[in-house]
Amino acid sequence: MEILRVENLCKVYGEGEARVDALKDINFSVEKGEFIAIVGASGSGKSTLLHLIGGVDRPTSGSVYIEGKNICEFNDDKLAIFRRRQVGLVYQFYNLIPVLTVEENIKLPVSLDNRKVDKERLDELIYKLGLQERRNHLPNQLSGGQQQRTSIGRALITNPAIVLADEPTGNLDSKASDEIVTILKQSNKDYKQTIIMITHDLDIAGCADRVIRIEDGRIVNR
Amino acid sequence: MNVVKRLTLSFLKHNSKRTIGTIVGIMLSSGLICAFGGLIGSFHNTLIKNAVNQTGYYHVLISQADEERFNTAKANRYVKEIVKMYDHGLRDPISDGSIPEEYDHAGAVNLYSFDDINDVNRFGYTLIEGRLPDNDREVVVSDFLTRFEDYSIGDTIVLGEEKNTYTITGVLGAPGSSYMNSYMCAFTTGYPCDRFDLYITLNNIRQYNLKIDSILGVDTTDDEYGYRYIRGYDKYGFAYLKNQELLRWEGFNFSDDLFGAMVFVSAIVITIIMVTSVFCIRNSFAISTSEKLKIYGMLSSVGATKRQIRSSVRLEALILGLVGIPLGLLLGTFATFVLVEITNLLLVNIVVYDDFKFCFKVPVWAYFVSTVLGFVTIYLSSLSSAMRAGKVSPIDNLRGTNEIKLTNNKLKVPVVISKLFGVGGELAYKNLKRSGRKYRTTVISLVVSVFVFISLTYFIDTAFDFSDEKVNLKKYNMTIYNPYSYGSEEYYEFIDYLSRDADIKKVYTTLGYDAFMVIEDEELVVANENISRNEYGLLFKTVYLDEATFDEYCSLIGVNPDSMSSKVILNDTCKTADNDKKKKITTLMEGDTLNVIWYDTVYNGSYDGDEPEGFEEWTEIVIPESIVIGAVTKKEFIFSTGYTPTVYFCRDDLDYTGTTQHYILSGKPNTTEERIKEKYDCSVDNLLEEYNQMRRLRITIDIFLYGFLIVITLIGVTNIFNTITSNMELRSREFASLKSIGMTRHEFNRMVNLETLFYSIRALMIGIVLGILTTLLLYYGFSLGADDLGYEFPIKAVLIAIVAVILIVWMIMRYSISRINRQNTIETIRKENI
Repeated sequence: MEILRVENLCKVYGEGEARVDALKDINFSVEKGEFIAIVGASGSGKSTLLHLIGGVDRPTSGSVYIEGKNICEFNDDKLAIFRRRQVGLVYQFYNLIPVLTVEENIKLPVSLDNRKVDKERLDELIYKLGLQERRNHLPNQLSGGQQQRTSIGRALITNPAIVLADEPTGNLDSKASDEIVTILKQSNKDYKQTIIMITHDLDIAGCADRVIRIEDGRIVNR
Repeated sequence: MNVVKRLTLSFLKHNSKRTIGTIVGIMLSSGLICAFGGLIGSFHNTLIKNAVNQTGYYHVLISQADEERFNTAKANRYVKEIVKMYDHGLRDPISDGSIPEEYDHAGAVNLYSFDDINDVNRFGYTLIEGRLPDNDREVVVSDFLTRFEDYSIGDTIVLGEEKNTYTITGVLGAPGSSYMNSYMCAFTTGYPCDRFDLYITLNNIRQYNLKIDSILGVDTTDDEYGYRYIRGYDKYGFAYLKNQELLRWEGFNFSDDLFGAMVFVSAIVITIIMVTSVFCIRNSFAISTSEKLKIYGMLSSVGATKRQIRSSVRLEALILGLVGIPLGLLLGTFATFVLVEITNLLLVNIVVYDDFKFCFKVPVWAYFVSTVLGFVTIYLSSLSSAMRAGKVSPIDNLRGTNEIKLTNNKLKVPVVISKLFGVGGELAYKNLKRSGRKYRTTVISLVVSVFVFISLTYFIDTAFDFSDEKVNLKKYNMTIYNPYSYGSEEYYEFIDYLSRDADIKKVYTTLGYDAFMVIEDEELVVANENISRNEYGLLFKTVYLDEATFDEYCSLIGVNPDSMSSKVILNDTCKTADNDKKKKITTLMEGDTLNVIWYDTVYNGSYDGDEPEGFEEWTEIVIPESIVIGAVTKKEFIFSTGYTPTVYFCRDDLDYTGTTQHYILSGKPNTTEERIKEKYDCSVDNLLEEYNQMRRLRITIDIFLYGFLIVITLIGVTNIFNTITSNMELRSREFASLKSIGMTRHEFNRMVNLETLFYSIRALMIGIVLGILTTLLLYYGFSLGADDLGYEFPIKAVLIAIVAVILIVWMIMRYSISRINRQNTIETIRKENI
């Protein structure tokens, strides 16, 4: 079942001499439960593509369909609600809220929806992420790997349609990187979670079901 | 230039907005202190100049001195200068009636001489025509003389006891405030004699009494009236006069109770100003450093030592201070000058003397204090910031996570916050609890602004409490005493004239306002405990009205004048002594009959020499013994409510009469005043003109004080603006993260608004309490120098502070939020990662 379809997606930054065509006419689709790795050189447009898919940024032209809905037509509020329910975002530098504990950071998307979190789901996630001992700690009391795991927990708590990870291992050592990739793979396997991950590490990319290569704003393979 | 210096300069250039903001903060603060010092200096200078205008420039005068006394004084180490004024005696008075009787020694012109004729200027005289005399056959005369005698320059005049002839070379004018202004005199030079006065100035005004005693060679401590009269001839064999006006202002006589109170209160106000200024400078600088913590972390990570980082911070402080403080001093000087000029414009014709002028002067100490305080504040701020920058490890600086409190990890959010405000409220609450240090600067800025506002408002309201109640200009705006005896033909003619004047709309006539009515009835005395009383019984004021005026009062209170024959109107709604509230204070009612006795106060004694002797005596006056109260009212008529009940009589009912006073409402008071004075020789009080003058004086004072308050408030607002916007900027990545995971704009705005509300409430609570404590301190200070008027809780200021804080902070937050919402989420997240 197709969960994501990108049609004629373009993103342009700047004007005149400063104009940059970050993405040029991108077209592709993703099936539910797929684990996709997006690779490409620095500045190729990988992160731009990811953020457009996640609704964090808006395209210059084109469409992004998630579960059949064109998210480019959503207004800002609808997009925000869409993100908190349907998209899980994992960044290279974690971007946790510094005044919230591990548990509170993970629960945040559900809290924003004014819903009560499923305690079992939360406990399970925290256990699987290996954060039981740290659930009441603040981000600055955690290692990089623990912070990234918290970030993954936050991305997974709502069982989103898609998890988008932008170089999730970019700031971690190899051991922590392996842990993260393992968690993502496990999530993909256990929950049929669709994952799109950007990486420049070909070994990590090799763990994915499919690799999409982007060069100079275009997909060179699918 | 070494790399640290280069980096520091480039930081300042690169963040030009923040640099300018910091410089402006420093400028405003040092400018404020300088301006305040300038105003104090100008005020002090004005008092001194005014004293000099009135009395001349000298500290002590020895009258009818001799050479021995001159030499003794000259040798005294405390003496700076001695001027001999030789007295050549009076010309005979002119008794042809051409000079008004009220001028002493009418026409008796005194001839004086100086060794140096320019010394005539120390008495405030200035040459208004011609030139000063060159020799002992020429004189310059006071213009008061030329007002009554037809002399011009070049004419000759016979003067002095020796009746010599002199040529007039010039005319001297004296300031309006000078007593010399109504003095007929002439001055020459090169004409010494054995009779002279010594005008002595001290080289240093401190402990002037001891120094003067040393110069005079006597102990003047017990000479109480030495400041008013030339004393001492009988006691010491010579007479002296201390120029107390000048000594007081030059010497700052702190033993004076009023002065002591002024100094105490001024000290509090100055402290408040300094606290505001110090905070502004400190905050401006601290913000600048906070924004560069990451850069310092990066520097540290590439190998800069702590010492190098600290020196960068200190160099920045030095540069900002070197630019900001001199600009601030200029601003302060300019502000003082402008305020002085505005005051002079507004004060024209208000103050008693026409020549009164506020004199601009910024004393050296104002510049010194502003500069020192500015640099010390910047230095200490830079020290603390430098320590902070140097102390934290590179990684913590880069992460910026050292701001979070590590304790209290499990934080329970009060249920009411969760229920009322949802996740936005929870986030806001947690931010405040766990990251309180970020808000400390903002909260402190708000606290300082609130407490300064409340304190200064209280100071202004208490120190300059002008009551407008006394002048009820809607009812009448002039008062005139009828110049004729009651009952005479001229008396009624005068009243008729007033009633026919085209501009006069209303005339109320009263007479016999001097007597007090006393009720001796013991039961009533006991029952009416709120009424003031003397040894005889309850005291009531009495007002006698003519028939027309009495009838008008009856109509005002809704009573038929025909039913009021031989009856009185009682107005017993008065102010109570403790809190000025108005209420009915007697148990008397319509229909009551009172047995009364009338008293008047008579001064039974005489003024003998300097000491008034005598006492006031209550004298009975014969009139009817009982009166009937025809009506009791609380409506005012002619007179404003006072502290004593007033009984209004219709004049025709009584025999007792006194001075008749007419209360007039005129459409053109100035014209009416002129017309009446032309025709009649009577005393006219143009209340509108007096009221306007007082209003202008009040406006002038208000401009100063509220201008001051506005400047301090602006500094506070600038401070708050800087801290809030800076705080928001530093958290832009956090905000971007929240948005990226799905926080809507509405939810984001609510979270930010709630944070604002929480720390504003915290700041208000602390600031209001501090403000009230300071007002209590000020109240204590005021009570040192004046009667206790009771403490008035500054409710108005507190309410304004609450509204203002919420409004201002809300507006600043709106501005910050709109800027954040305009930022691209991804770019913000990315920016921090580079």
